Amino acid sequence: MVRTRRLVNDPTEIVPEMLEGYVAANRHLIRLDDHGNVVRAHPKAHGKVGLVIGNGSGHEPAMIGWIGPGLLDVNVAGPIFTAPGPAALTRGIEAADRGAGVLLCVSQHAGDVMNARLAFEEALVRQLRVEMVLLYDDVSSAPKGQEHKRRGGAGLFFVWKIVGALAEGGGSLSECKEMAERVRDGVRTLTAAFGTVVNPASGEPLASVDDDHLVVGVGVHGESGRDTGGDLSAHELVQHMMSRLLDDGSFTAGDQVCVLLNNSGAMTVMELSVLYRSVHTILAESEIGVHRVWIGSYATTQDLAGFALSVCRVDDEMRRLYDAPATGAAFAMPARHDVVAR
Amino acid sequence: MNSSEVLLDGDSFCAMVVASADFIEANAALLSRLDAVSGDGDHGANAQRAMNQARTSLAALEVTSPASVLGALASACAEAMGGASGAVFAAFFAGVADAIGDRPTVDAFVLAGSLTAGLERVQRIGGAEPGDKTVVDALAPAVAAAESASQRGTDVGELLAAAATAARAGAAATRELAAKVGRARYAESGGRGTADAGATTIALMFESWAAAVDVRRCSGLASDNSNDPSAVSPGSRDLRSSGRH
Repeated sequence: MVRTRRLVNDPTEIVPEMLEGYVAANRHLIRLDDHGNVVRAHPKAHGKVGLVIGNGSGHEPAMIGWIGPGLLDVNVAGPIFTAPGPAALTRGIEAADRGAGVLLCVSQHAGDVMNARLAFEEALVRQLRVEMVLLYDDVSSAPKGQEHKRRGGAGLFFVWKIVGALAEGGGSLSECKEMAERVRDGVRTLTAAFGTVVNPASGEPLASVDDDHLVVGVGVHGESGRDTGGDLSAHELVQHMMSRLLDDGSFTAGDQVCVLLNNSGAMTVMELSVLYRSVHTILAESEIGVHRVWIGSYATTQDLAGFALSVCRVDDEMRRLYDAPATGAAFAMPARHDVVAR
Repeated sequence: MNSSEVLLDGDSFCAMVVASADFIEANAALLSRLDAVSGDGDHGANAQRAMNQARTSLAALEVTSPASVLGALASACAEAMGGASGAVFAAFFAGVADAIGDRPTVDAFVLAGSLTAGLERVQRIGGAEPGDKTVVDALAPAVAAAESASQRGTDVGELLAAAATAARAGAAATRELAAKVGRARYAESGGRGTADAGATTIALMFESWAAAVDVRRCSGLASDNSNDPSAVSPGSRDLRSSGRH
């Protein structure tokens, strides 16, 4: 049973009203600029690289909750599940410019990529110093060996955290871009979900999926994936997913990884903890070291009853950057983090 | 054929854009239904919103030239259509506008070359090839038909009619295709059995352009090559250099 009703006012005003409310609640961190983009309330110091991300709305707290110290600088929010246009992105690039160049981060989906390319060209015409990086992680969207064709998913979490810390610490534009690519190349993500959700503006379901069937490889807009057929237990599901992830990313004994269990919307912390229990066991059996784990709602698909499991290979530099302090409305890394289970 | 050659000026392009807005508005529900099969079912509404904004922008134009009209259409698509289709349509119209440059009028030869430039911009931005079940499946045959018509020496009216026929055939043929790029590729069977919504919009656009130019030609509004001193000769093949002085 798909929940079709949303508590909103005018369905066509969901996005601006959502932005206004979220920003008002987090005004110590973020504000809306004159063009409706979400920017930091206190811009980062001059001479540091700016980080911009555009995305369709409906995935909150992505990415409005990721603007702040140690994270990103500007979020250009598009309509529901629809990439923002090039002019809005170009204004976002301008807003993020602190004199050291801007990295335009693109989660690889057709609309996001095309609009970003147009914005990137326009920014160059305006003589802005800008680089663009295409990011992807979703193993189910293209086979191994064709990673560059994959779509962006929840695993980009690690890019925001690590590159955010690098830019905050004074990393150059080329260093930030290179790090974004390195993190991207070390992340693998798979999703699983029951059923689908509705577009909150239109009330129409996003896919024709049977609620009772667990599907692995569901996209961030509810795109259908591969039906697992029978009833899997949590442990069997994680075994299946981890086996694909570890194989696809060629993770081996001795690797250090960070793990993300992202709630797509309607999972319980109880379920996610049960799932992580199996992840932890499998990584230990594989002699893969776990640096840090984050379980929570980072990028949602409305109230989709599903989750994304991401594994990111991290080296010493990435670990240091991952542990650096950060404060966003939806994610924070405290300054003191010396109690780390290894 | 030169005596019958019609030239398109800024007002002609205005009439073409207004006709597109009418055609798309009349078919908005159909376009959304096509999009709902493998997308989120909002293409018709988005295209209509963009065309309405284009109509508004045209009224505010200071200079009505072919490029300024197409530029306004490109901006309206970029801002009001949104998503992948917004970018693709914006890239196409901006590519055509840039190739036309500051020419006050456009003949069949320049139109064909400019449409080709628009298609090139679309493919550079989107990376789609014919057969991927995208707008390119209507756009590429339309542009090929336009080039072929131009080489035969037809006027812009016949050129647009040939492009419209090819675009419609290309859009209809997307029914047999499964999507290879974009969100539609994740849908069950890749949307096979249903025409691509964006390709259908391209067909509507060329049909509306052909109709608008035909109406103007029949009513004597279109300018005529024989008495227009600004007519561009087929010698100026290099659109980029000749369009920007």
